[in-house]
Amino acid sequence: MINYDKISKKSFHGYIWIWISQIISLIGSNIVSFAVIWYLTLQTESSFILSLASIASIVPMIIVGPFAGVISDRVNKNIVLILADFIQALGTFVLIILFYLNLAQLWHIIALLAVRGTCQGFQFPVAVSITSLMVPKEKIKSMNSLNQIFTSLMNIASPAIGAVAIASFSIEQISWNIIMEVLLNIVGWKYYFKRD
Amino acid sequence: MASKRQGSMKSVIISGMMLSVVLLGLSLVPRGWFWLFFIICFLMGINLAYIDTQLISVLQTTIPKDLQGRVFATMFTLIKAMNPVGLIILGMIGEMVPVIWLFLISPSISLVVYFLLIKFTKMMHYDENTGNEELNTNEIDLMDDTEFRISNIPKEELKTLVE
Repeated sequence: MINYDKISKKSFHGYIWIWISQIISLIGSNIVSFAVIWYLTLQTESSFILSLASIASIVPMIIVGPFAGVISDRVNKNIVLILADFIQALGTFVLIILFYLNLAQLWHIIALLAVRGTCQGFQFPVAVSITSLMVPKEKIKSMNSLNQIFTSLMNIASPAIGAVAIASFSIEQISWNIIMEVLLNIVGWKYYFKRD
Repeated sequence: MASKRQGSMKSVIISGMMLSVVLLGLSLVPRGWFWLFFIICFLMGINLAYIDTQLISVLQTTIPKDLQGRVFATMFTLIKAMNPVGLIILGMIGEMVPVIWLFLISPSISLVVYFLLIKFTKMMHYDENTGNEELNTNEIDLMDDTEFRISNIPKEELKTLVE
C-alpha cells in the first residue's frame, strides 16, 4: 500500500514531467481525432458515419466511467495508466498495419475509436486524482490553473495543426502520431514509479 | 505563485450564478449589436475556466486521497453523459418554441438550482478546511473507544497529528 500522506519534493518534480508529457501527448491525440473525423467525412460523406464515430468514442467512456474509478482506487494507479496507454498504442498499431495492407475498413476505425474512448475513460479520472498525490497542497491550485490554460491552448491549436496535417499527410502517417504520443506518455508515467 | 487564500465552494457558486446572469444577458442582446455578444461570450469563458479550476482544486484537497479516483470518474461520467441528453432535449424543445425562450429559461433554471443550493445545503461553507474538521471528529470518536481522551492533548500537537 502506498503511503498517500507523504508528498516529497521529488514527487512534485516527477509530476512536472508527467504533466509536460501529458500536454504534448494531448496535442497528438487531438490532431489524430481531428484527422480521423475529416478522413471519415472525406471518404464516406455521410453524416450517419460521423455521428456513429462520435457515439463510438463517447458511449464507452460513459459506460466504463463508474467502474474505472473503483478499479483505479483499488489497483495501483500507475498500472492502470500504463495499461490504458499501451492498449491505445496497440490498437493504433494494428490499424496502421491494416491500412498498409489495404485491409482497413470503416468498422476498424470505429472500433479503434471505441477502444480509445474506453482507455481515456480510465485515464482521465486517474490523471486528475494523481495531482493531489504528487503535488503539495499549496501548489495544487496554481497547477490546476496552469493545466486549464494549457489544455485550452492545445484545444485551440490542434485543429489548426490537424488541418495542415490532413492536407499534407495520409491518415496512416498521422496515426503514427498516437504511437509517439503514447510512448512519450509512458516515459512520463515512469516518474510516477520513482516517487518517494 | 501559490495564493494564500484558500479555494472554496463559495466562489464556485458565486461564479456559477454570474455565469447564469451572463447567459441571461446573452438573450437580451438586441439585433445588430454583435460586439456585445462577443463580450458576453468572453465573460462566459472566464467564468467557466474559473469554475473548473476552483472546483477541481477544492475537490482535490478535501476528498480523501484513496477515494478520489471514483469521485472524479463519476463526475466526468455525469458531465459526459448529460451533454448528449441535453442536446437531444433542447433540440426537441427548440423545434417547438422560439430559441430565445431556451436562452431565457435554462439560465433561470440554473439560478433556481444555485438558490436551492445556498438555501438548503451547507455547500457555501465548504472549503479546503472542511475535510480536516471531519477528520478531527473522526479521530475523537476513535480515541474514545480506546479510552484515550483527546482533550489531554494540546491543540497544537493535535494539529500536527492530523496533518
